[in-house]
Amino acid sequence: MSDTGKGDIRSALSNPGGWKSLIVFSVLALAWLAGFSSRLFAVIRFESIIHEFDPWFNYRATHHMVEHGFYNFLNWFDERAWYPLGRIVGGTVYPGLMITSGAIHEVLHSLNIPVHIRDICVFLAPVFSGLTALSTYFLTKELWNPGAGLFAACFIAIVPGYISRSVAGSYDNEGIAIFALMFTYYLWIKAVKTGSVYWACLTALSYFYMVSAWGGYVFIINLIPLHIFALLLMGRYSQRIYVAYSTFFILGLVCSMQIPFVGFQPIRTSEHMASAGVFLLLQAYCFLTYVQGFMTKSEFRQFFVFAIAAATSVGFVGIIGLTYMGYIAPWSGRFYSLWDTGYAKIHIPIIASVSEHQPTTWVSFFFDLHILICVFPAGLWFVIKDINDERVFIFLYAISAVYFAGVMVRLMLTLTPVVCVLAAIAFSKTFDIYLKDETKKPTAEEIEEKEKNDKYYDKVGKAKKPSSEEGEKEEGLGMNVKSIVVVAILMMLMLFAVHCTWVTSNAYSSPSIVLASYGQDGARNILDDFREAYYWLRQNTHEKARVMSWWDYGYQIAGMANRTTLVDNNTWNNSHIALVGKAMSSNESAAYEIMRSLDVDYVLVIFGGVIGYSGDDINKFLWMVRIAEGEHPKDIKESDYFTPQGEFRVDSAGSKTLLNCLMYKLSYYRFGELQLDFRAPPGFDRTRNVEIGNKNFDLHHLEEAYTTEHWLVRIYKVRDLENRQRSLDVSSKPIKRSSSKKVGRRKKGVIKHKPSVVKGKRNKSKKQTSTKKTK
Amino acid sequence: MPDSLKSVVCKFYDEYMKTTPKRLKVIDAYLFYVILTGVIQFGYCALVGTYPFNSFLSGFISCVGSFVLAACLRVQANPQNKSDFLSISPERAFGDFIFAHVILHLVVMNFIG
Amino acid sequence: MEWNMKKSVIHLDGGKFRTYVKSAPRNYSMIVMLTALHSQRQCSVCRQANDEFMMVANSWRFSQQYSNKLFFAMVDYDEGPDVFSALKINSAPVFMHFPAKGKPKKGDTMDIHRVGFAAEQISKFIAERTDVQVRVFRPPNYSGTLALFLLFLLIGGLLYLKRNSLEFLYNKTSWGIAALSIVFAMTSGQMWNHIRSPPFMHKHPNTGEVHYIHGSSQGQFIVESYIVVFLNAAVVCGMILLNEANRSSGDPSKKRIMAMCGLACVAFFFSLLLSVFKAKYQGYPYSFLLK
Repeated sequence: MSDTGKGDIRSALSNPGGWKSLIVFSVLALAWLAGFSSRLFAVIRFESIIHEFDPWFNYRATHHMVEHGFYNFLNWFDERAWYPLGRIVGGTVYPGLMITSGAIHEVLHSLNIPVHIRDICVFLAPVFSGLTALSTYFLTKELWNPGAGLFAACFIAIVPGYISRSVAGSYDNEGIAIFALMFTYYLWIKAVKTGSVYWACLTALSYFYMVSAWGGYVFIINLIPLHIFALLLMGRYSQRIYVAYSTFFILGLVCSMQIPFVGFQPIRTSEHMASAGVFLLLQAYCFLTYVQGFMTKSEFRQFFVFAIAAATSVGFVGIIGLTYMGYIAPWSGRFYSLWDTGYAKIHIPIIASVSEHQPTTWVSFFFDLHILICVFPAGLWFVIKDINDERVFIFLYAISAVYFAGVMVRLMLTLTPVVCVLAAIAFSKTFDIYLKDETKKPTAEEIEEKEKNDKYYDKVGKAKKPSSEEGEKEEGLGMNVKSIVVVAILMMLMLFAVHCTWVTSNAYSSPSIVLASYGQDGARNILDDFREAYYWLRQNTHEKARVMSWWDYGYQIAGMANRTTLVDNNTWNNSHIALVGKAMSSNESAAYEIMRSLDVDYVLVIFGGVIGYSGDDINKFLWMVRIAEGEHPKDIKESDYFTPQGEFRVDSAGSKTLLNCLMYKLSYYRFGELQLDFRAPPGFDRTRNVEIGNKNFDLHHLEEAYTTEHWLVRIYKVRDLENRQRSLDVSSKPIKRSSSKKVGRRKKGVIKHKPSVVKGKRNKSKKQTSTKKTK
Repeated sequence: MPDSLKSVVCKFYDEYMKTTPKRLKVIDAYLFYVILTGVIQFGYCALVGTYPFNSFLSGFISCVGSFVLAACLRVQANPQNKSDFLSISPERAFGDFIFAHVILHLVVMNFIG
Repeated sequence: MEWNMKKSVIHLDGGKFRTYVKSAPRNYSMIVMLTALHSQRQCSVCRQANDEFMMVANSWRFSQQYSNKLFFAMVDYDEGPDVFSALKINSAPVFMHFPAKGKPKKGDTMDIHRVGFAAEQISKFIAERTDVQVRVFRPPNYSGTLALFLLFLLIGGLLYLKRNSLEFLYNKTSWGIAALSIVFAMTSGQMWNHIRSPPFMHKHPNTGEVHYIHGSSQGQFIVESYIVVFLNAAVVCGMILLNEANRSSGDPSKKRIMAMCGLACVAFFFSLLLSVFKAKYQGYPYSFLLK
């Protein structure tokens, strides 16, 4: 009994298939864990809080959905944003993120695990990063082999390019969108390989999830048709791609139109026309191929040429005609600016002002991707050398992603997965050669060597094992060479892991709502001014108060202070933002009129002069002026705010308009009395490093309501109209004259309208008063 | 040119009638019916106007979807194409067809308003 | 006035300047460009500014609101140096507005350093100073479309010539090289260079030291992106060599040399790249082989 038992165990232990799945499972689990834990820096250092600006809106929307139910969320009209316009949230938001969190919340609560929705939101992105690693593994497995898949999963778990948008607390669309992207691509590759309707349906459903999650779904719906088109051009047409694409297209189309935000766009805008065009082309091609089976070559040729020419010309002309006539909208500004890079700067300054929309320097590539960006072209080379249907797809994905990432920093996120996949292919191929030794070792050992993990550094020991085996044959490279190569590459990969951790810790883990500064001795000083101000607003103002601030802070005010805002980060109404910008750039009286017309109760400004915070409103001021000038060119001129030499200065040499505008006054009110340092004069602005020019002024229409501890956030209350209105014409008239006359007459003892016997004087007085009135 | 085209089409029709098995002819008839329905819908929309647009769209896409899925079924069930679809038997193809139709009609019913 | 019928921009020299611009009273305002277009002055900026100015002047001349309220003129340094000295101007180009009444103020000189000299900015400046709106009609720039058309023609011609032997399209190496060159171009920041037009390299004015690499991580030079292309390409070549080493059917020593070469390439150039990165990102603590 024991013999057979031992034999069983031994055979089980030496079963390569079993080992293989165990290794795959453990490596993927470790990758998930590594991805999850490396995103937790901010939570450990500060607390579990939502970061930045946009996630606050997502959190507020999720909270609303959890409180009021799903249908109320879809039909939600938010009257506490964009006062007095309001915002149709149900129709202007991608609901996938909220639905995911809401679903997880439901499931956990039904299992009686009471997790607060905020914690779910904070930790959603790290959890989904593990799922992304899994889908990347599956994708690379389809493209190359499981070893490359494991590499790719480990790379994408820790690569900074993806971590930057999915740290714990960054509750934004990209956290789940990249998972949806990778999963859709995996299912698509599977569909193309098997040609089955089932996989294509799953692709369509995954695409539906992607459409609900992120606006970047346009990338999928253009890349997949491009793939099919490239396959047609290469002559790789087969029935499988017909089945896969047609099913995916039609199901994906009808599913994507279910999202209220997308609506009818898939058949109306130029961005989606490519997919429809390829669909029609594919139908035509399939039909012609079918017909070809029945005819001889010459007969077919005439038919074919005639048909294809007719179809293509009709289709092409039709689309251009419809675009021209306006039935189909041309490319929207956001996407057009990717093609014509100078467009946004001239026509849409809001798009140009966002720092994420700037082009990319090589440093950003290297910072986010380290060794992967150097090695991935080699992966691309290997894929080209060994091309088949799926690899055409990854080739196209790589080229298009690299172009878009070069144009806009934000799109580095879409480049990251493909770089991970291709670099994994390159490394896998290299290790395939250099870890293989000609002894009769089972293949399980090779796969074991390929696992990569940043927390476990005993790789070197494991790698040395096969090299120390005897029995090398001289037909290949020697064992020494192989081991040297393996060790060197492993060292570089370890450097990659260390770099990723360093970057995550230093660059991408700040919650930006809580600032921390480190003293000389490493002591940490936390600046919690933002939340202090928002909670003050929440507790000390009435429910319906309206707060005016620049659009950057709108979501945070709505989320944390729970007050109505005028403009927020959605920036859908440029004129409204221009109105706020005009109020901030005008002098106090003009601004007061605008504020009265908008029913503003409180004004909030960010001021960094005391602590040297460089992201404050004075530094953003020029953008306010530019946007205001775009709508009100007669009232606001940008050149007024510069000195005659063309400099932007806040000290005494600054332009008078700047020194008297509302933003200046609100930022520097009472700042002239503050002396931070005995060496510097009072009113020394630490961010601009100058002494301010206009001190000791008073505010007429506003009064200071609250200033936070480090003067970072300043809140002002808008005063009501004055009790007694002085009408302008009375003050400018020389009242003194008439009153002195009246006094004179009273002195003489004459009552005003009493008919007096003195004829001449009465006439005169009547004449004089009448002339005064007509004046 | 039109003569030769006509002869080509006639020859094609004859060949088609002879060589295709019965199963595929049934599917072809269904395809023709779906195309007809689609044309009628589109003509109706062109005549009467596009309000409500989502209803027209859902109906039209339902037509196109049915056409596409039936064409895929035909392609997969055709024994000539067996080399392309190694892992899919005709029964599996039919099962996938039903699955896809379920999804299509669920979404269309939601969309129709 | 009748001059303007012939030429949109009036050339002035010292005397004419004093007559038409300086004299008072006038019922028209003048926009004057003071420039130095002579080839020996080597002022390329003046030439570009001249093109933009001509565009604005032509737009005005052929526009609906053309009247004798506003005239465009230019003074070349070689034709009227006294004008330059009278106005105390010693750089070119300068755009000045001479109002109908009164002396030109500080704001009547267009601040080119801030807004540039594009035609739209010139017309904005004019609108600010004189309340006259000049709609700039930029002659449509067909060069982009023409280039694209030529490209298609070239590709079409190439395909037609080689229609019998389309084998060259299947050559994987050429596709590989094309793809890799696109990738290298993009990842070294060429789009940033294209949009921001940085200088080629920086020569420190006092010490004469030449900087090939921009000091901070916010900018880059053109030379710098070429260096990065070279380093990336070297690393990729190393990786490919490492893999090819196994496939070549030569003697083992040759294979070994290839492998070691490949590895040396990868390691050395990667560490070089890392040190360049460190030079830009002060505070980055890691390095590989080189400091």
